[in-house]
Amino acid sequence: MGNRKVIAIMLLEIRNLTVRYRRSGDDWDRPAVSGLWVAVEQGEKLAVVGESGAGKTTIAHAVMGILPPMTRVEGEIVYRGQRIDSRMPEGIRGKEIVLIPQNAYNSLNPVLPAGTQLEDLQAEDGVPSPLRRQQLRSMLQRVRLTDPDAVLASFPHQLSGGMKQRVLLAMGLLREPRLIIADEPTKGLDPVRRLGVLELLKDLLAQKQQSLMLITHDIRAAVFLCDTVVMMYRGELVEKLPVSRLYEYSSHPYTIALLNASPQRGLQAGQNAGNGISTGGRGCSYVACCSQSVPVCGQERPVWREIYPGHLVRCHVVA
Amino acid sequence: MGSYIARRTLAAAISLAGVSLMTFLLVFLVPGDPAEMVAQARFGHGVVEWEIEMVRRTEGLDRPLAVQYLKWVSHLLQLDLGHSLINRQPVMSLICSRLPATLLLACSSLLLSLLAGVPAGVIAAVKKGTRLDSVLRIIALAGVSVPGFWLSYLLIIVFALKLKLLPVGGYGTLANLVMPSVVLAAGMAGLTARLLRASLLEVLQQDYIRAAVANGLSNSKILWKYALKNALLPVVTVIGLRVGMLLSGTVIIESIYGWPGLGKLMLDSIYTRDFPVVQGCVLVSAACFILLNTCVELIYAWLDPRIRWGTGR
Repeated sequence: MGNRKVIAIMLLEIRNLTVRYRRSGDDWDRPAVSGLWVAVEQGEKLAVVGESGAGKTTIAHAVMGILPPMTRVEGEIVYRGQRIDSRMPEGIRGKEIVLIPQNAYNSLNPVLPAGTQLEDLQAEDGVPSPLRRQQLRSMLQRVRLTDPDAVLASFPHQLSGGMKQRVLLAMGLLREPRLIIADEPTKGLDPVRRLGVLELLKDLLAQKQQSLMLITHDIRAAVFLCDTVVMMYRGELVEKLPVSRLYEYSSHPYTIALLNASPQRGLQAGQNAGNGISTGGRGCSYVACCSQSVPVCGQERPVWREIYPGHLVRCHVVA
Repeated sequence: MGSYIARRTLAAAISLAGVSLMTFLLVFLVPGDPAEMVAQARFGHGVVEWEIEMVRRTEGLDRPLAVQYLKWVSHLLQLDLGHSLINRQPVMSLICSRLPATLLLACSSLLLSLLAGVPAGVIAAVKKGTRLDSVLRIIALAGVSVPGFWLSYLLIIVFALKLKLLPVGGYGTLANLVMPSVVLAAGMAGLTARLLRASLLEVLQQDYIRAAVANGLSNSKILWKYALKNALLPVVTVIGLRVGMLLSGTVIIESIYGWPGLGKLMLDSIYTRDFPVVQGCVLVSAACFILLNTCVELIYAWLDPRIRWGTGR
């Protein structure tokens, strides 16, 4: 993190975002994301960390404008000073902001060859057909697929999980986006391939001044790839801190619990027993599972406090 | 792909062999002595015992069934289906004279049903939940549920008798083709629209469609290139079966409109107990059906590469 810019240019700003999914008729679920503020600077690598169900994917889908139709969205999403939440302007989705989707196994169209699906993106950008193959070959080599022509001719079911993930990476990076939203890019891969994809992503991003929003439940992936981490619990952010402070200075009880939880043992931070303090929906969202809670946690919503430059916590207990 | 075609062709050949055996046995399964039926047709009613015996000998009906079957198959392989008991014409030429009418009707109703059903299904899926969707769904449901014979008579009363726009029945001109095609297409179009709507709605929720949207592809490209090919699979199955039925002749509709197709030939020969003709019709219908099913399987393979390489989902 040597060369911090003097003036931070905000690439993406999410302002007070609340997303609710409709269950049926007028029956709405509790917000999947509530009152969320996040900003990504030009060139910043930000990780959104939380367990499944925390609302991480909802953020990604809200930014891309691909939430299901029966969804209520409040707040603003601003990309380079332009609002993109109500109407996505031309040429941003898939070009300036790309999503590397979560489910590698089902994110490629099963009835079209990988090459066709990549070429359709080039066609969107008006790349003339004679140039397409060559560009794709070098792109696939960049994501370390050793036999690009075979991959281009293959249907998705002929590719392994790791290869599909690399094709999706290639699809994301092909159009030189400014912001990459990677939604659990290593989901479903074994530990060796997971590391391979993370190292690849790191190398690819190091070459360009691209911004990354990494969505993950794996703190190690966040530490490996990003410089800032935001912790998310049940639709709300609870802590934001530089990666360099994560292991030693993280303060929110949830962050600490998640750091101590071992994924190998299947332990989930959110399942700790709380101190029996109940909340009427007004208090801290983590109170029911927090081991350090005090009575005020059940009554008042904690506010953000900056405990160190760039390190913000939302907790009553942290002094 | 080559081995896939070979496998499908082999399966079709085995089915055809089975069908030929069933068709052959048909004559012996119906009540009555085949020799007596032939004798009656040949010498008129009130045949005597020796006439029946003579037919039994000359036609080889006294030989073991297996021998008779092999003989029948060897004739069949030379495209000889025997002669009609009624007018002594070769069965093959009778069927060939009727086949064009059936093919014409089948093709025109298939075309009509696709022209109406596919756009209706796509529009209903894209405009899901709107008034247009409801209207299309009701029309499709009506098309599926209304019985063909009822619709036939309704059309005859309105367009032939009242408005005098179309002939009541018959064969030969384009005007004759309209009503039977519409009646047969109505059910198929309704079915196509309903199936395609359901299938498309399911496909549109898949991750790969969401990924295509996130990639900024245009809506029309996503619909026609990314979604439709996936959504067509179940539709092709059902359409294939329906067209198979059309090719084997649609007995009721052909009778109502006096359409000289296979179905009518089969019905007439059942009435006159002209069993070689019935046999021939059944065989040709079954062959058409098998041929069509093989076609459907090849279309599958074209639509879905996972089938082509023999790996399941």
